[in-house]
Amino acid sequence: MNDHFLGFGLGLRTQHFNDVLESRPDVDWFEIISENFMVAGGKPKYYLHAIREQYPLVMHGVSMSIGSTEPLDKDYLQRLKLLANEVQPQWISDHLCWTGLEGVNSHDLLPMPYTEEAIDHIAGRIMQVQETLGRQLLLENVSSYISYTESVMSEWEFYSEVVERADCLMLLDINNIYVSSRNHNFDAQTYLNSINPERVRQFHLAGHSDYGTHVIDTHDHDICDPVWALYRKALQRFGAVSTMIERDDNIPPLNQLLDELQIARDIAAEVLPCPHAGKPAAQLEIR
Amino acid sequence: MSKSSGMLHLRQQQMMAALLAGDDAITAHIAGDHNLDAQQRLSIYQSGYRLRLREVIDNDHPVLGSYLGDDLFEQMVDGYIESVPSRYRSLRYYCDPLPDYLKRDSFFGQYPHIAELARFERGLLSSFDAPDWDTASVETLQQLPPELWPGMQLRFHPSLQLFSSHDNAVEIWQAIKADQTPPNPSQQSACWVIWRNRERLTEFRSAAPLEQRLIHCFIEGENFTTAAELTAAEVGEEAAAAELLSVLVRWLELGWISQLTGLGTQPTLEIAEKP
Repeated sequence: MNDHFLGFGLGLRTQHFNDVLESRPDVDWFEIISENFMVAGGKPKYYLHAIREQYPLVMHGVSMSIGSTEPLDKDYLQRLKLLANEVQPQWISDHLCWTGLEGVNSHDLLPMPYTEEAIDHIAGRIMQVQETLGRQLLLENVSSYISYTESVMSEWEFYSEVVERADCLMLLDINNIYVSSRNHNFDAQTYLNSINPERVRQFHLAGHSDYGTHVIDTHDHDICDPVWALYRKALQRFGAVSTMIERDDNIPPLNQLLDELQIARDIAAEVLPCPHAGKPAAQLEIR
Repeated sequence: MSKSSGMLHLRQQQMMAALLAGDDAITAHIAGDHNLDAQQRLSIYQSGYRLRLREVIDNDHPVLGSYLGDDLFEQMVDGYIESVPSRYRSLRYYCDPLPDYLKRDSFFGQYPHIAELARFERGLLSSFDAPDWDTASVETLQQLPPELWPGMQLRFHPSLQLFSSHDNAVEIWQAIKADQTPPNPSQQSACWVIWRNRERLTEFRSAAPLEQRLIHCFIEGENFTTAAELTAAEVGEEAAAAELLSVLVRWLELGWISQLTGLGTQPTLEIAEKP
């Protein structure tokens, strides 16, 4: 079994703060959006600390902009490090993308051209970030709607090469692989088969909006059957990997997300030989 | 910058120009297919950019949105997104420049209370996630040795802000919040205190002229003796001590004061007054 297996988690959202503290739901861990807690105090920090006392947390950022050609934002990295000192997360992740340029933030996860040059650029920056944070970073594959004519390799080749050169880890978003496979007409299984299992530390699951000709990663729907099917295949390939559900819009009551998380547990229990799959993280040895 | 990042830099510049200004130079470098051509693919990002920022304005300024109504709200959103690209890592701060934008916009600038309404909503948000400091209690004051009272200074809670305005934006905000018809805009001098209470809820209340002056007095680092003189000038020598004590007790009960100090430490207070 993966030494770093936390079990089955959810994205921590403000709508559920009270429910989490009052009902202490059967969630093994929570993922926080780092930027949402880079505030001085008040309710966000109160709930963060209270929930941290009861659950393992991981930090997930959305604005490191690791692929941008503007200099790394050292102030942001220092604030990220301060938050990590405060939260003591199991790990820190962000996205294999860029988000802005020349001080302007698009607040979107914009894809890179898949070129040798881009690999060099990003790998060097990841190493700087890891040096600053004093730990390995997890990078997530993003959903994309464009590909650049300059690209000379597939997304999975690009992703794998970046991760190997930078010696970082992978947060594999199963829904994003599905979304991009539809948008760019590639085989999602080929994507999974090309990923080095040793690098995979976490899975994301989420819903999307299907427009027929294309799919948009909206995180506002339940997880659909093809994504569950891909999750099953991912478990078969990678074994027990910490899994969480992201829901960012049209957020349902916590119980509904717990039901969805149970589906992930059930699939894992069917697929994995490990008797611990689907058990709360507290019963596991967590590094 | 290397030759390689020069290409990357150019593509990123082109992509940002497409998002911010609708420039389509990037489409020559986007692969299309039978499902979607390059322009259609790019438009997914362009629409997403606008939708995301629009949602932030909507979420941060619900009362302003109700007050403006759909058409004017969309006019404001269009103008703001076009004029003010986000320079923040977190969307939490994207609307910080909104009051200034409304003040200088040729249309909205004709109605200064609209900018003030936005400024008041920003003030509420600032108090919401201001730093967590302990609050002093009435007992803290009672336990202060008498000889320290004359030199006593105050350190206000960081969530406390003074909102001074020259119109009735807060009354408009209150009416809309209560689903009532807002009053007509009118000019009036008003001062409100915004703070986060001990239950971490944001509150506000109007501040009487003496209370405003006392807050300013303590913000400026003056001590109890000076505050007592100021109070005496307002209410007379005989009533001054009781009045000042009553004000201090109220502030302590409301959780406005983090620390009593006679050591001359400068108080910390973010002031949201109209410049």
